[in-house]
Amino acid sequence: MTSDNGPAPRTYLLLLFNTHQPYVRHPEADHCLEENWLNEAITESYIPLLDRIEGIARDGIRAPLSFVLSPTLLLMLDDNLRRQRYLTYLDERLGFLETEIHRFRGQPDLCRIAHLHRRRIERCRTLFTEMWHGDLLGVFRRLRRAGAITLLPSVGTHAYLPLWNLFPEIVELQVRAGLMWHEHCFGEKPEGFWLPECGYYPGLDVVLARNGVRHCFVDAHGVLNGRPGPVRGTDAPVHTPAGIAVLPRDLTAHRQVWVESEGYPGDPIYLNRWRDASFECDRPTAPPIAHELNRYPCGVRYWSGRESARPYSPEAAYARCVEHARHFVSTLGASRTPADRSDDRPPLIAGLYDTEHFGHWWFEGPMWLDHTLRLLAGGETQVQLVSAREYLAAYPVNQVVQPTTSSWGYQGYSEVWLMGRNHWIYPPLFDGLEWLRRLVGSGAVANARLRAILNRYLRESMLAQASDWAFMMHSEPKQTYAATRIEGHFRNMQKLRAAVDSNSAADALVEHLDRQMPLFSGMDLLAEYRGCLETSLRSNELGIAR
Amino acid sequence: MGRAYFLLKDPHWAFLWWSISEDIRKRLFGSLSLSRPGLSLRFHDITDILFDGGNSHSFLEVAASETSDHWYIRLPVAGRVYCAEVGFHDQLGRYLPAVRSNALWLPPEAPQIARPEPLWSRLDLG
Repeated sequence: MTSDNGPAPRTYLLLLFNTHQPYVRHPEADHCLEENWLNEAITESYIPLLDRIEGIARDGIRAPLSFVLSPTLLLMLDDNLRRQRYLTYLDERLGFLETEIHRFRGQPDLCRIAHLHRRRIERCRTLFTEMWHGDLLGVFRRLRRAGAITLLPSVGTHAYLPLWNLFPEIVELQVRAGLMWHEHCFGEKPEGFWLPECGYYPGLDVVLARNGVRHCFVDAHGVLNGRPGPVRGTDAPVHTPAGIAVLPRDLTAHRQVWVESEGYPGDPIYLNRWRDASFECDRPTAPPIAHELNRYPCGVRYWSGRESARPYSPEAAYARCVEHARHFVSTLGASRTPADRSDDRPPLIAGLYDTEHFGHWWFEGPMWLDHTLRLLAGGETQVQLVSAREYLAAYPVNQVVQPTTSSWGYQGYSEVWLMGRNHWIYPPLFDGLEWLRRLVGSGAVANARLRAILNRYLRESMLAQASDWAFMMHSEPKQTYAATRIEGHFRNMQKLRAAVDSNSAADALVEHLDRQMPLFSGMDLLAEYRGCLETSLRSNELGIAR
Repeated sequence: MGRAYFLLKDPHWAFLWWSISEDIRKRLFGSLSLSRPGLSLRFHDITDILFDGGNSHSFLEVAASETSDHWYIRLPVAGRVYCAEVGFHDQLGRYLPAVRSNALWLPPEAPQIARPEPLWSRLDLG
């Protein structure tokens, strides 16, 4: 594998964007603040990034990027209710910005920033409605067909798998549901797979291999602490005993791009995302952004730097972005040379990021990426951007190493999802899964009514298995919604279980829940679950947690 | 009888949750006189052995109240396999486990120092 133009690469770079949102859908409410998580991500990250990537492709630049699209995100992007509500969200912001432009009519420094935000939102609206006809999945499909991006699936409902390995049938079901929904949306069987939170444990490679996955990603220490020790450190993938290629995250690329305290996003020239206009505007002029009782961030910001009170300068931010892109590309090329090894294979640097970091958390992130991709393609660097497939096809021989249990969460393991504020969610879920295992294992699921109830039971359980809720409980601000969601799923599971135990009908409840949260519509989850249970029993995987 | 789940938090810390049936609870705390009050949690190192209840390499014992149902425990050595028991001591001081957990493998916390000759494999994507 050589560069199209310029000298042979000294470094390979893989850029992956993990795109996920928790499943939030509330048709029963006119206005649901938690639905704004997706609206914000679309406005501030997905559309700006897709816009830039389309521009790069139009300019004939080859920049292979990898995008993970989680099944819950796919479901929401393909949901008419969410589409309609997204347009309402945009219109609310455009209305708000009119009042902001009026508010700053005597302050040109701030008024031009309000205009900048209005142009940004109008651009989102034009792209979303007129250019893309509300079909963001269609844009991803088109870019994939054009070879500009590679798409990867993740598990069904973003379960953090190391905490579910006492139930291998659920791990298997989560993996299968993710693969099936990806194939349903994109018509292809993917080679790569994204593990939520990079959560890996020895033995998970067997499940992935069994389901046709060829590669996945883990955090650096997962490979570094693997057995036997990796001779190339994190400069190359390893192969697990089950034959999966595992690509380790590069921590330098992580820190420079993602960490505000030591990387580019913390530069005081950049927009201060923490000082939101909804907390500064006059209340009566700005409904529904600033409610009578509460205010919530609306994505409109005017100031640069965390500490300063200087109005944001788009020109200065642009110049700094160019500098940071140059720095990224030049340090990647210079700082990594094969050392202490007999071969001269250039290192592979895997930059793994949450997509929402670019734009939502780091306002200038999409612009930085645009500059970086153009520099990489410019022939002045010895860094070559690759997809996992390109790299693995060029370097098919790698060391056999079993990575250790690990994640990219705080402290590198499971403590974000298992601590004092959230551990209460596991025992009831485990109890329900043991009940299900006994029931389905006994074969007593013949009649159609029972199958419908158990299908819904599995949907409720999978929705509750999402790591998002435990994560939110770990960091307090969204705790109330997360706990309410979990408790709601628990109540639904109890009602469904009671109907099974008393052999009574639950048609209305099942129908209501299917309408409310139509997770994986049309998929017979119970049939999949039975298959997963049989596989786990056959493989003798029940019993040890890693 | 009951059940116990033993979950990994990090290379040293684990979370144990248990449930003991009402029947067992009555027997434990009703009719029997205990030599120590409350529950006793045992954390056994069962690395590379088929655990039969009495053959662990070593164990750590912690006293817990009768009403508790979970415990965060710091285990001594990363990279080992542990199993937990929730039980009590009878009037003769004998340990009687009520429930036993799954085995839990703690990941190693550091890179391997002594590295064997590496094995290599080929992955053909087709």
